[in-house]
Amino acid sequence: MIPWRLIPFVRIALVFLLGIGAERFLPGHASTLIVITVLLFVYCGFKDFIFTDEEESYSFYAGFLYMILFFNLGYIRSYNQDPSLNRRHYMHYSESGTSIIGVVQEVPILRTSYRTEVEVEYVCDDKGYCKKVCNKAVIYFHKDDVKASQYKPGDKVVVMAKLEAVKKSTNPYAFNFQSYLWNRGISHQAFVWKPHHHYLISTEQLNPVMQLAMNSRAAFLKVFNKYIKDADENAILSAMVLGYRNMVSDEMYKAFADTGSVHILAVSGMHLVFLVAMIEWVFRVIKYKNKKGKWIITTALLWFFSLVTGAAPAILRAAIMFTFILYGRAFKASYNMYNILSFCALLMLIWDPYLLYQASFQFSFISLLSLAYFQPFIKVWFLPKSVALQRIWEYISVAIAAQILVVPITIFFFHKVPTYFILSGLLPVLLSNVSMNLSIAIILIEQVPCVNLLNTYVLAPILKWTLYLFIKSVVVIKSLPLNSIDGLTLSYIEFFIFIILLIILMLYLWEKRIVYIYCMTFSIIAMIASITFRLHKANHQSEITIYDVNKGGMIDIFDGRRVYNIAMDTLPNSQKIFINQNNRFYHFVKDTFNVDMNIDFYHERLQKAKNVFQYKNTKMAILYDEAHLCNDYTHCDYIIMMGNLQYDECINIKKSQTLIIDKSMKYNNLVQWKSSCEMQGIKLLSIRETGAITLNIKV
Amino acid sequence: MRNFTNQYFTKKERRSLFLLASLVFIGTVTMYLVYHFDKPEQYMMADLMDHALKDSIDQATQNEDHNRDFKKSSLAKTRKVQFGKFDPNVISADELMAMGVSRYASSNLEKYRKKGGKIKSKQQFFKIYGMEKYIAMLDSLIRINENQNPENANNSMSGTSHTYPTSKDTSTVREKKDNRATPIPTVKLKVIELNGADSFELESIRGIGAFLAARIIKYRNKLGGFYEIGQLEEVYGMRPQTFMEINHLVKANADLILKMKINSVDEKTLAAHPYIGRKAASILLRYKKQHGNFKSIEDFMKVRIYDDEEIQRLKWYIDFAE
Repeated sequence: MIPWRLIPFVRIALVFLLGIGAERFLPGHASTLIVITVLLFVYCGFKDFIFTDEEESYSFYAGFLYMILFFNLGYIRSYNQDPSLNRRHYMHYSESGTSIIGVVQEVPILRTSYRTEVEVEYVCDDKGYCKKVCNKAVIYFHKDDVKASQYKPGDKVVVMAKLEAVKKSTNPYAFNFQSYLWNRGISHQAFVWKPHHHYLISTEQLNPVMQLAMNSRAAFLKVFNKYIKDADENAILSAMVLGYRNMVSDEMYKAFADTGSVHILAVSGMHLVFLVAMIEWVFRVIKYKNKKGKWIITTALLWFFSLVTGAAPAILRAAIMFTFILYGRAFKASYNMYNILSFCALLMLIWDPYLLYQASFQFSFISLLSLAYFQPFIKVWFLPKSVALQRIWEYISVAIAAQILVVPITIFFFHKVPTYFILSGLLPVLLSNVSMNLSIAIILIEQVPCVNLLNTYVLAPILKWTLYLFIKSVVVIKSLPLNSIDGLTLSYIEFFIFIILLIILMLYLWEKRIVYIYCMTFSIIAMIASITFRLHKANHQSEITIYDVNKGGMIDIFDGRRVYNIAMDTLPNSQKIFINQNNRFYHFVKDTFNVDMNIDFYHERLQKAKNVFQYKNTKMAILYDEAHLCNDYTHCDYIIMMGNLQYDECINIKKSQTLIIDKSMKYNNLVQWKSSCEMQGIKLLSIRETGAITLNIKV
Repeated sequence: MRNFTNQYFTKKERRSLFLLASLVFIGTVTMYLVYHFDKPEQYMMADLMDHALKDSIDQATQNEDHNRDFKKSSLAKTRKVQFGKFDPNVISADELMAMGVSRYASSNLEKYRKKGGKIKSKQQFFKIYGMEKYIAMLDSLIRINENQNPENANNSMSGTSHTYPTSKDTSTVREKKDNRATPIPTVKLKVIELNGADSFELESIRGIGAFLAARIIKYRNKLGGFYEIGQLEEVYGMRPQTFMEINHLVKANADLILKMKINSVDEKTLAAHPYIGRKAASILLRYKKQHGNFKSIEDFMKVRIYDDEEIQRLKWYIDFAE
């Protein structure tokens, strides 16, 4: 029996987040729920504050009423979070706006271009009139723009560019960037490719607390730059201790992700645990015993650290939670881990219900829940007598426990599972703990004149070696064979069954009832059946996917578990993988064949002669050069155009054929092709309008 | 389920939950009403710029303890020309550049005026090549004085004239300055050549600290050198008011620019130049491969990746020697 009585906030948080979820998937009932909520307030208010005689029947259904109340509040709060309701949101004025004034929120990150988030304060039109607005937008600057690379949080900038709505990728199973940004309150983006189209007008425009935190971070980064000269070591240290991830290269990030130690790079609860342990150690050394004082100092340092590292949801969650845990410990109040966890989640979701859909929020709460629940069970598997072994086993049990509930989410979103997470939870975590403590000591000592020689000759060299070993340990784990299992997929049903399975496992460990074993067995059988069914379908699939690509077209022909890839030369390999990887995972692709556009190709079911392809009994012509237009394609089922081809009257298309035009065709040419096809009654599909197209080939 | 919902809330818990729920509900309803009925205010871009710059000046003034009077007066002067209203027949190219107008457009205006041209309307002003991009920013700032004698006005601009009335704040600052008993201290300072200066020399200029000096040198090394002092504005952290304060203390000797031999340079070096970039470097080298070596700046124009403004600034950095 679950002791719900001891964890009231768990119940409240659960129904609140159900309300948030209901609003997303069943929208349009906010007004009804507001009326019900007001009635509930009136009834419960009377019962709990005016007619306070405890009635047996009321106490029986009061819990039910409060559950409904918080469900409704979750729904209403989520409804109210919709940015389009806010008349001050810039999205209402972006159409006429030609420039914006805003405050930079984060250091621009270089990927294919510099990207930063800006809190938009004004949207100005071409006549010089500006509307005072709010909310964040993403701004992209050219990758060679030196000026943009040096913007820092708090810089107020003028950007002469139009805000454009972020569009959803229509490629199958593609990452939904639009939804990702929407959940963070961002709906628009702007592209600025010329350095003279943006300039700085003032600095330090963040609120005073954040500005102090950002200035402190800049000062601490200088300390690290002074002592740690190696670029990789410096990058890792800055990311790990200060949440400054700009210097971390893609290769390094991938190595950490593949070995399951990427959580070390993102400042989170684990780092706060290290910090609290360090502060408590200092208190022990200086024999400071005032509990109230300890709580105040520790909490203040925790919050300062959280702000300095950028106040990400994971770190805020941990800071809120630690504040309550430390309070409980300091004043001997009883506290329940799950209750505190739920209270933190509830507070954060009341503040911003869309956090529920952010991966970092989900991961941080679920991994902590997993850790808190499973670690005590795993810890008792092995009880060594040696203290050193006990410590090692503790680290291992933490690594295993933290992974259990996270596995389905990792597979569902990232399609991979790190295999050596136990190893990476041991040595790299241990070394990162040492590095963090040393770096904090260096920062503190640096502030004291004369004593900072200690940094130069003692602490900095030790830190350097620790970082070296830390990076080396990750690289070694990465180099081990089968360091991660890639290409795993779960359908929505399988994901749901997986979650149910883990909940039953939790119940079984709690109550040890045989019925849970049956339920788990049934869940596993259901999941295996579903995967087998998908695999069977994949073995017999015949499908053509024409992707939605901006520059240069790409087609995948799925023949069973093999795929033939046809792509324009202009498309970089990295972009190809980004676009088609997830789709291939879901098609269980084993073998890939890249078809060269310039060479004829013959392979079992696919033949290519010049620019005409035959797959089974379907023929399609791919036209990517204007010289192709006047050939005879009347025997083909599909004519696919890649590239910006001008309309030519010599083309001969029958009414039974379908013309597909990919996104690389410019708008003016597309209009010509469309009007011509309309006149002749030919079916035309434009990827610009329909998004990626999937054709099922029937034999 | 029954266990989950029913009697497990005590009266005390119910009251606490009621209060929490009330707070959430009231907060949500208030937010909704604010969102629904609150209309965004409208401002003029020029006023916003003026305000932002005022904040920035206040901040700088607070931070600087020494030479307060000098700083204030020079900043006030800076502000007057930064984002105030202006007459296109008298404003200098440097002042326009300080407002964010590109060097190319500013110099076009100056050339037009030198040849005897006079701006009679806003439309005429925005017909100046390169100026059309700044309609949003400058439209409300233009004040054409038909009776103005450009020569007199030009002279007065360099001092503390009343030619460019801006907002009320600016006038107040100016009046205060005019009424001061003591004049602005004038110090004869050494003019530093940007292309030959080291970081110590740059740091000796008031307004340039160690980091800004390092950034100037870093940018200079990337460029190959400065051909005019206006390029300092491209350096990150160089605020318009700082630039206005130091522009009479620096000069640029274009003869010292290290040019790139376009016909022998590799792609990486070419791409590293701030005015070229990776994509343009790749296109230029492909063009060279197909059409042979570049012989003059006209060959560059044939590539059609740069506009006239960009060509004009690039020509300082390209050596066409074989």
